[in-house]
Amino acid sequence: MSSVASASLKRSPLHEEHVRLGAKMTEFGGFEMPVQYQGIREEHLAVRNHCGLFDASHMGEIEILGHDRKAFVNYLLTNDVDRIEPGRTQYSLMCQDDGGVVDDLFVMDMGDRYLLVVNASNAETDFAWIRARAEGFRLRYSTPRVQPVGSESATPEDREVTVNDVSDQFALLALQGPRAEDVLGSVLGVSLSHLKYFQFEQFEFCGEHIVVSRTGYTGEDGFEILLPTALSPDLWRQLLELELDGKFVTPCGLGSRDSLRLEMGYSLYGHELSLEINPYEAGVGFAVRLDKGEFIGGPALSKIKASGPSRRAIALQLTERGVPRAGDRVSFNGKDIGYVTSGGYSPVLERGIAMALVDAQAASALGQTGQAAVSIEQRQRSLAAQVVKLPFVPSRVKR
Amino acid sequence: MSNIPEELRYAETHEWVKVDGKRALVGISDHAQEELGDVVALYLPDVGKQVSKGDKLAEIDSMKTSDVIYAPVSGTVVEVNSAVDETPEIVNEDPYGKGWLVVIEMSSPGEVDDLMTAAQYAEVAKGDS
Repeated sequence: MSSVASASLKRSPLHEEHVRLGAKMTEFGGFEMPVQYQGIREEHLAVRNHCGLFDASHMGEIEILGHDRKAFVNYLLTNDVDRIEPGRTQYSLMCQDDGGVVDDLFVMDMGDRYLLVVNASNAETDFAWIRARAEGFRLRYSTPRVQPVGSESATPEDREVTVNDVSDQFALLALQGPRAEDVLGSVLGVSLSHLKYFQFEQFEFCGEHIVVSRTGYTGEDGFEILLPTALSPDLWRQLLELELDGKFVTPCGLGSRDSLRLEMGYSLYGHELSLEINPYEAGVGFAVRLDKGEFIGGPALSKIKASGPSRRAIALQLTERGVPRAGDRVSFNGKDIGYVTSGGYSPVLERGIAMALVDAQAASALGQTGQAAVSIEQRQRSLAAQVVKLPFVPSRVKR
Repeated sequence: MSNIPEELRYAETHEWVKVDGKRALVGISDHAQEELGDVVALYLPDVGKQVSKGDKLAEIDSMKTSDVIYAPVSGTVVEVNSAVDETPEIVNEDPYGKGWLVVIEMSSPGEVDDLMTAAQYAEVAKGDS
């Protein structure tokens, strides 16, 4: 796996750091990224017990500027951007007309613009999608205002919505774990205790502005740091060189990023979410605000919510050894009810765990039976599992 | 570079064999455990199971993947390492020692000569890493 280097794959600005650390590399979302350095379990437990550092520079960043940016973002996405203010991040979904999910993303209200942090694998299609929707939005909503003679208050530019792909300008690091605040605070020479979950702030690093956000994908306290690509190797190294109580930060790859998010039951696009899976099925209906006014997918989502989704996401924990994998079928009382969207091994529970998308009637039948037993069908064997509540492992994010 | 002991013989599918008369001690190579990553479960055959060279011998789950372990020689499984059932990570920690998997009593010991030497296996390991 360490020789995946292919001319067609993009590289993170931290590529040299990964090579130097002896990472095993893999293809992900069109990028050559580290899957692990020392081992997935070790990296996973480092994040739960101390602190781990991830390179998430493969994620895409798209900025939306212009006078009508707020109305446009509310038309484009399912969550209500009116509910956040500058310095806040919001989880949202971009849906197509039938309610299928184009991508799930984070919206950062930067004051003068919105920054959307999107999945690497979707970054290009997202950008094209948003540009096309911006065209439609302009025609539909930006009725030219009558300009009073002598007034300079509204130029034609004001009515524009501008969409830029700025992915190449930014690196994204994620420092996650119970000691993340101490580590990052020491390196930046600032206190971060006032920063709340889903809040971000600008700090100075090497004389430039970087954005520090109290967010993450692990269920631990921690930060995501958005910074100019050229600065990222410096920050990466300084974070790894900082010794705290005789311990160092552990560099972590995509393997532990996945096992950590699975223990939390967080969705991963292409698994829990896709064009064929709507937000109510996936259990992310909290990110859909039907009351906010017109938006893409709104009418379809409204209908789905009213009639109830036909499938539901459930969480499964094995009651025997084994590791469920995405695509495994799930059966209940001998009947096929759906499939595993993500499966893996929980280093904390020391058990196989899975998220599955199953028939909604079966899901409610399962819900009524308490410790309902299902089986996960693999080619060689059938694994016994029970339905559990999410998260699999208690979240320790700083609310 | 992974550890490839001189005294063992190797299959292309990354199993190793240590021969003692008609008994063949079998495990997976250091290279194989590195590629698999954290081993979390093994499914070993029952004692008494008859296998032919190339048959499925066992299965292995790591955090990132599931894989099949093939019989490097033909014969009867006469011992299995129950320690790897309880602590599968010893396959990562000590693939040529405590992490052994089974003992096969060989029906045709001559098959060992068809397995690779350490030098030959080193080329295979280099090729796919």
